Amino acid sequence: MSASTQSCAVKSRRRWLSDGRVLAGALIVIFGLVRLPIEKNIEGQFREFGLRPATLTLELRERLGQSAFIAALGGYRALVASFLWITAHVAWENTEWGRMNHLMQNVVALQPRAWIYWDRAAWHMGWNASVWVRQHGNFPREALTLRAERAYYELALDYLHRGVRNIPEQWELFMTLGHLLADKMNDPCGSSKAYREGSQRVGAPGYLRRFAAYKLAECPGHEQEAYKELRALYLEGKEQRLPTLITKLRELENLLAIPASQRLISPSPPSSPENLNPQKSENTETP
Amino acid sequence: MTASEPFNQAKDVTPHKRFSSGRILAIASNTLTELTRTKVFYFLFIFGLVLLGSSMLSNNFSFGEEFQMLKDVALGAIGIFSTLLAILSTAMLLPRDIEDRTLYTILAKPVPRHDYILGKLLGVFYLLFISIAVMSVLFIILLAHREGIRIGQAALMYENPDDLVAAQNQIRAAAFTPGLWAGLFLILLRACILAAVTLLLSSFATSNLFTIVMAFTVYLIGHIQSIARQYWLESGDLNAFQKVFLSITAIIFPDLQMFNIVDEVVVGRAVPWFLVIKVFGLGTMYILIYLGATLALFRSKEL
Repeated sequence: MSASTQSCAVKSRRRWLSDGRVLAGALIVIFGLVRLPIEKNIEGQFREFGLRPATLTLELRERLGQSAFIAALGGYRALVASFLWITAHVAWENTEWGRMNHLMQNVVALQPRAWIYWDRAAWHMGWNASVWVRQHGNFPREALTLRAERAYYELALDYLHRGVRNIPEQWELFMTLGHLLADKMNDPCGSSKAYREGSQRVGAPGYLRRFAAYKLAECPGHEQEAYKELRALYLEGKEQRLPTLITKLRELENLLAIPASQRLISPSPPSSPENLNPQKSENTETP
Repeated sequence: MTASEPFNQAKDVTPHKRFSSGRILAIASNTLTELTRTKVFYFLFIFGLVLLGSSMLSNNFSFGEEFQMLKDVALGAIGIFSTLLAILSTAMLLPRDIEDRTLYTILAKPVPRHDYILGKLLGVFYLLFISIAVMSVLFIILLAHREGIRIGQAALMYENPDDLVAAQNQIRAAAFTPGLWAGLFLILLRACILAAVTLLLSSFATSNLFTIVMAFTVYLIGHIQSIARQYWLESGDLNAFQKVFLSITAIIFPDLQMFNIVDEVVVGRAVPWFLVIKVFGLGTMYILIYLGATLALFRSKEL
């Protein structure tokens, strides 16, 4: 190879190296290789602290429509969820329960860690939709009305169970679950369990412990256990001695035939007017 | 004055610096002035209307729903406006200076190209910071106002002081969630990265439209790629082509999901500060690398 050819090759290599495009491309690629492990580490920590959203499924893509799905992918799932919630609210005002449920399913899929959506969705299905069906369903037979009601209760239950799986630390969801099982599904044992679970969460109000004990008192075969809990609550102090608790204790002491010497409450209610019917007293609490 | 004086004065003149923070700041403040003259801050009126509208709309909901929606809409709007600002304002910087011939006037003076690029990017950062700060203040004022109203309503509803305190605490916890500040900070950081990417694109783009379209594509891919990666990895059956495709995408495009924690912040998740600092470090690296690549391209650009 001649000297001039060699010099041309060197010059061309130098030109190639000093080309801005090559340098820019090299920078991006090298940085890409360097940052991948760093990003993997940060991603892991995000997951550890529950700061990563759930994966968007293809099923959700079909339900949301393309534009909303792209917005959700583009980092605006909270915004899309909010707009869908407003649409669901309009559907509620028009008593379009099927559409409302469909929209709320999308909202909870987009924002599975927002407890308020799970809670309100369950409330709408378990209380509003089920009552509407009873009042305006116009079913030819009572059995069909009951079945429709039951379907809405099941929907509410499904929302709450999924909500609890997604946000197990949220006491509000356990409380609504307890309310649903007690008020709508006639399941005091399940209700008591839900209240108890809720009472063990951080920030849970004290009344959840009492609710758990009240419902346990209604759970067949658990009267002795309920009595022990109510008694323990009563002995904790004045702030726990609410009329409902006293009434429940009295009922259980009578039912379990607790000897007079061991009783905390007198067998018959006092005759003062405000205590004649403790259920209607100001401090009465009904779970 | 003697004849030799002018020569002596010339000796005293400070030598021309290759890098001057004064020059960069001058270009940055000039860029901000130019952008302000394009009436870019008018979008704040739209943002205010969005906030007001969502506040009026969410008035019909319970306080939990109201605060959730207010935060969703406000943080979403801040995210959208900051993205639009970052991409659109940066995309027009270089082409406009070339069209107006301002670029030639500046570079004809002893202003190195890197000072010019740094100043331009810093000007956009100023704009983004001011815009996001104003939007955040408006949002915080509205949130505090609604919180005050709800606390007042609770005072009328509860007679028992313990119940009242519990209700007020619940309202406060629902309104100002702990990660809110971190969320706003990372929105700003993401916008700055987008501005750096757009400047890189505009340094070799042939038209404004190309820069804008490409920047939005990078934005979308930046958000989707980690979801696609997660989806494919969870499905488990990756073929060789998919592996190569995923690797190339991950290397070339920024992972913008790293800077998106808004969805979790609005539901009340706390973000540890050490994690915010780590993400800030990563974001700074992104900006520096894109800036380096822009300088490399702009240095060899024929003007």
